[in-house]
Amino acid sequence: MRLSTSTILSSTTNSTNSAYETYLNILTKISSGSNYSKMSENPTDCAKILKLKDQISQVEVYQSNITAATNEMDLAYDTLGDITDELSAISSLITEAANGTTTTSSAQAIASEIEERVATIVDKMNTKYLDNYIFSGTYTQTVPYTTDEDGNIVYNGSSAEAGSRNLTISENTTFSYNITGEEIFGSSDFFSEMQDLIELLNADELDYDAIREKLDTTEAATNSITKAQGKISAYVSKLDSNYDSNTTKLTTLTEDLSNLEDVDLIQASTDLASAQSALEASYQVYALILESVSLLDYL
Amino acid sequence: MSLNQSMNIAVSSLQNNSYALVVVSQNIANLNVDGYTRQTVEFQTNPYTTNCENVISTIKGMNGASISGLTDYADQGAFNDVVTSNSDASYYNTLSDALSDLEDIADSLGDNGLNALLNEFYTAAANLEQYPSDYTMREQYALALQNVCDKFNEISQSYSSLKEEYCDEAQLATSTVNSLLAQLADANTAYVKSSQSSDALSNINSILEELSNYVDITYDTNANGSYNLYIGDTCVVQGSTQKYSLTCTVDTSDSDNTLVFGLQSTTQSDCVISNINNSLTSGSLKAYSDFLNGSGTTYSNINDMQSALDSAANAFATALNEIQTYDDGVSFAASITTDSDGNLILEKATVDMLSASDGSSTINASNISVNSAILNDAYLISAARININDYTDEYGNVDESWVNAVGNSDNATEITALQNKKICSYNGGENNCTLSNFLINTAAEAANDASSMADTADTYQSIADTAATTYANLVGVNLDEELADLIKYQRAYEASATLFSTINGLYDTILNMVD
Repeated sequence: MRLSTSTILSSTTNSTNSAYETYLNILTKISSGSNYSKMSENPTDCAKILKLKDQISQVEVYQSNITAATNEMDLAYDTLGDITDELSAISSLITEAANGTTTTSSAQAIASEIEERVATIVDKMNTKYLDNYIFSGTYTQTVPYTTDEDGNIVYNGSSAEAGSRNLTISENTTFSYNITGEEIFGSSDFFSEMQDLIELLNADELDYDAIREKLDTTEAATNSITKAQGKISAYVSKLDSNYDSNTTKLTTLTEDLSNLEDVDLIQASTDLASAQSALEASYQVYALILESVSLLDYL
Repeated sequence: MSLNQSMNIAVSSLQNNSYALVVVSQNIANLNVDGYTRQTVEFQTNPYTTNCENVISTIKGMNGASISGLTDYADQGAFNDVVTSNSDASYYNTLSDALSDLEDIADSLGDNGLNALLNEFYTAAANLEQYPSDYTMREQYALALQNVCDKFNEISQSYSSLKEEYCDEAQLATSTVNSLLAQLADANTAYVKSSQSSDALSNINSILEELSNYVDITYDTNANGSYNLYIGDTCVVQGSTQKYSLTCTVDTSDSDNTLVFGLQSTTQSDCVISNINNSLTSGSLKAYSDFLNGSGTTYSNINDMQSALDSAANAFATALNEIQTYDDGVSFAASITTDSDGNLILEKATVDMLSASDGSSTINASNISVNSAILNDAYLISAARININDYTDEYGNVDESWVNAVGNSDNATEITALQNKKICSYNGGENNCTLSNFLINTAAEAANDASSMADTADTYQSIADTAATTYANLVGVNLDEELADLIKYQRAYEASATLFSTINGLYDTILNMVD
């Protein structure tokens, strides 16, 4: 076949160019660490990558919800534990005051200690996690316990029946939780009983039986707290199990993503080496063509 | 006298070969000129001047040789292949570039894509679930939403700009075509005047080749050798006359701003062929009209991509507004306000989350934006959803204390759930696809089309390259051949010169004899 001189040269240039392009593409892949820089390089894989990224981001959101809820539950559990300590201290003070030998002055001292401990309990019940009161139910911006104008300690949070707080913790699971002061101390029963107790202890004549009866109140409160702590434990274990299954899911998704997206360095290095030798070969061919035997050499 | 005869033959042979060397020089000089057609000289034996009654008189009649003509290697069949394959390659290359531009806009592979921003928005919604009354979380949520809206606006704007860009390119191509048509008419004149010289023909060929990039052309020749050029069935250049010029207009009367190519007579202003879009079968002009008008095409086009994006933005806005102002008579969405004591309390939500920034009644990708009221007061976002039954006693009395339930985040939960809700209609279905998947699917479709069109374009380009190479190989200059010719003519010249000097020596001999 007859070939014109200019096409011989231009076709050699073209093939060198394409070898160089292949070489450069592999280099870009290795330096970016990502298999694809444009969807059209592999639309199917890239669509999968995007969907995986969406799912991963979703599961991460659920995990952040779970972490926040778990932290709040842990704080609630510990706070209730502290309150139990206070209650048992109050119980021993009651027992001490009710033993029949207590003088009015030591009863008054006991009264003021009980008053302080009750104040501590109120303080604990008004604990906030970040910006939310944790024992107000859904009224997260309302201080659960305050003292009204008559000096009574009253509950202002939502009632146990009026809805709960909800968080999405997996695609199909909403976590409902609600710890109200009401379910622990009743709407104001415990605190009015304590008020009574303090009055009894401050009385000129001590009514030991009446004082002893107040042990029932602290015992009931301790039981409610144990019950609430049980509820919290159930919450936490639900959160934990969802956290675990989300983590498993996340690991799978991340692995899938990495398989699709991340450059297999071993493969890429092999490709690079072969592209490099192809490029070198085409340079050699180019040089050969340029220096090739021409009739000119023999004239 | 026979010595004279030999001398004359030697002289004419010297001239012949020096002319032949001129042609070789011309070929070598044009070695790298595209479209140059190689030429070679042809020799012929001069006719004998006497009838050959006997051998001697035959010899006496010998007149040597002369140059009878120039052979050029022009191959019209191969050239036709070049022109046709060029139009096809140009059509697919233009489309491939356009689809690649389209893909770049739709592609959200990067961290700045619409999908990534949507994920950030859902993360903000989850934070709202955790801290429904926190102003910072609300502000973050509104900003994340605004980012999503901005991205919608930006992509929509990019589509519009891309459309304008390709309209401009189509206009530019049109004026190039018109100037080429005028050049063709002139080249025809030159070709006829030069008695069909091969140089003038290569000029015509290169104009035709250039034209074939834009539009698929057909042509035939007149008796005087000049060319007639047709676009579709219309003869636009007839010999030395340009009868029509190409027009390109954007029809603003329909919402898609259809690009229309037409023909306008150069002599009669009322003679117009208003729409020749359907007569175009390849070339870049058809690519522009297909891509911009999207008529009868199986691959992505700019209008479809734009309306898909609009429908996604609209579905998103509708769903989000529905959640924001939800009220089914039992449950209702609630935002936050401040009571007279400065406490945060709930109130029934009435303000939409998303609105059209241009005041239009339909929200689309270009106008979707966060309601400015919400941007000014993030408490207007409704994160709570109150079930009034929770606050109604057995006698049907409603307790107004629900206003305190600022820790309720059921509405935010609904927003988080939105990412798995099928709110978009894909591929002819009805609400069969989540927003994220809809965006991914549309982008993947565009990417698919871009990738397969790039392959198709490669195929057609290589066909065009082959045709061009074949043609160049047929008509182009090969240095080895020219060098061989050079030696051939050089040797012939040398031989003629030797002949001349030999005869000259013979004259000397005779003259010396006379002395």
